[in-house]
Amino acid sequence: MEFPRTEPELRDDTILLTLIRRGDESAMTALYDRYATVLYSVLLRVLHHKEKAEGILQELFLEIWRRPDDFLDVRGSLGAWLAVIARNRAIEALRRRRAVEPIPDISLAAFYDLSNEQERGVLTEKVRIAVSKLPSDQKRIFGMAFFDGLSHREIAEMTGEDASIVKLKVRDTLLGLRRAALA
Amino acid sequence: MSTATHYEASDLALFALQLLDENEHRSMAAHINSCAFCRQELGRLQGDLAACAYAIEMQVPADSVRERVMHQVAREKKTIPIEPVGRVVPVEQPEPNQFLEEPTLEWRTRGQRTATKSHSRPELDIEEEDRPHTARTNLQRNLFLWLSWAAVAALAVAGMRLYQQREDYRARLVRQSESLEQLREERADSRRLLDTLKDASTKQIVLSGASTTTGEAAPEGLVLYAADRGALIFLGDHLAALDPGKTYELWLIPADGRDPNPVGVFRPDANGNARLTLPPLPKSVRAKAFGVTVEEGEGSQSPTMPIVLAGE
Repeated sequence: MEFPRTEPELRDDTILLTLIRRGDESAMTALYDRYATVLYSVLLRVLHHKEKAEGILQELFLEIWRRPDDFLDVRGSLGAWLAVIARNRAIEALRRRRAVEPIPDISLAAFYDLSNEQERGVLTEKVRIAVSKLPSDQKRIFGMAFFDGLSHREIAEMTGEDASIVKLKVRDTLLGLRRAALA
Repeated sequence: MSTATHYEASDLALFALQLLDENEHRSMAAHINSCAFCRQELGRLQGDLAACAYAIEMQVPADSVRERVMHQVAREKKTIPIEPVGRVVPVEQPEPNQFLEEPTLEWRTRGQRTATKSHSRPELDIEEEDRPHTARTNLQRNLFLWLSWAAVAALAVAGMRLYQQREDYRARLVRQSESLEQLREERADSRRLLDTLKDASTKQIVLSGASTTTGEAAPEGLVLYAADRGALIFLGDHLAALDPGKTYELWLIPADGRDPNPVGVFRPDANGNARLTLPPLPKSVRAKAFGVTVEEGEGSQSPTMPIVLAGE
């Protein structure tokens, strides 16, 4: 049995999740087609292991199918939440860490409608340009934190920087990317 | 990191990245849970992290992952959940012997002593001479009880009416959402239909078959197929009526020699006409031919001979 790809999907995430809640498999297909690539890219970038990345991706989407209410309750953008969850799951798998309890009622601020393909494209372009302009040591430190899940102390040991400087560089990177996204 | 004031963005960034050790994380989580300011800043930082995720080089997962997810989804079909009804505020039923909370009453005894009694079993120490007072007190208490019950009943009725109104609104909202969704789907289907008809690459394949009854027109069909879009329209004419429990099924025979793909099932109307519009199909499957067979029930995964209509 094949599962045909859908036409460019215009329904927003909330409508898709509501339909998934009612057991609509085509809505699930649409949501997968919308976010699977970005989530898989994050997972693969962190894990460097195709099978593990595929396994977590599969589990993540099945969670959405089994418990859509958990994701309907998400405040802010679903696309942004899923990206953060994927990154954190990958880090947990990489570092064999226990999952930490999420903070409830966080309204995740996403300045773009990530369910809209065009807006995703604009955001991607802006952030890529901003990353390319980062000083190389800052880019390296942020990469060690974001993709390798290393603590600021571990990064400090590896780079010879002071731990407090590492913290500031991580913060400055995030704030710089925010400015770029909003520009 | 002090919990007395707000955390700095650099600490919150490490928290968002989950890079703190367990104790630090727990301690910060306790503060953030109760601090709207830090929660807001954490939300912003998590939004920034999501933006980083969208900036990395994109890798497309294998189609097999999609197939596995959707197979599992199909296996775990769910029953449509019933909308949870609004929480009904339980009305506490008093125990038969339970006294309602009332102000402590005072009464005077024969010896002019002032005694204060709580309402827990006040009748125990009452002497004969006090009976009229007690009777009045009982009357007051009964009146108070009845008034209380009347108020509770009135509240319950008002609550029920509000609840019913809310349910009516909710049902109307659901109906309107569903019809809106249906309109959206119809609009999308119409657009696909129009696109398929207008598409220069859409192929027209005439299907023909032999008449089963002498003197009757032979069945025929027309398939419009846009392989790149995975869009198909089938129109059938002069189709013989079928026994109950049987159905016609259209097949796409791929050009690469793979097994026929089931396209969809249909039954003709009283005039022998039938149509199949935009059934779900994979894209970019080149077709060598199309055929129609008669199948049992809801159709089959492989065609059953004979082919009643065919065309290339």
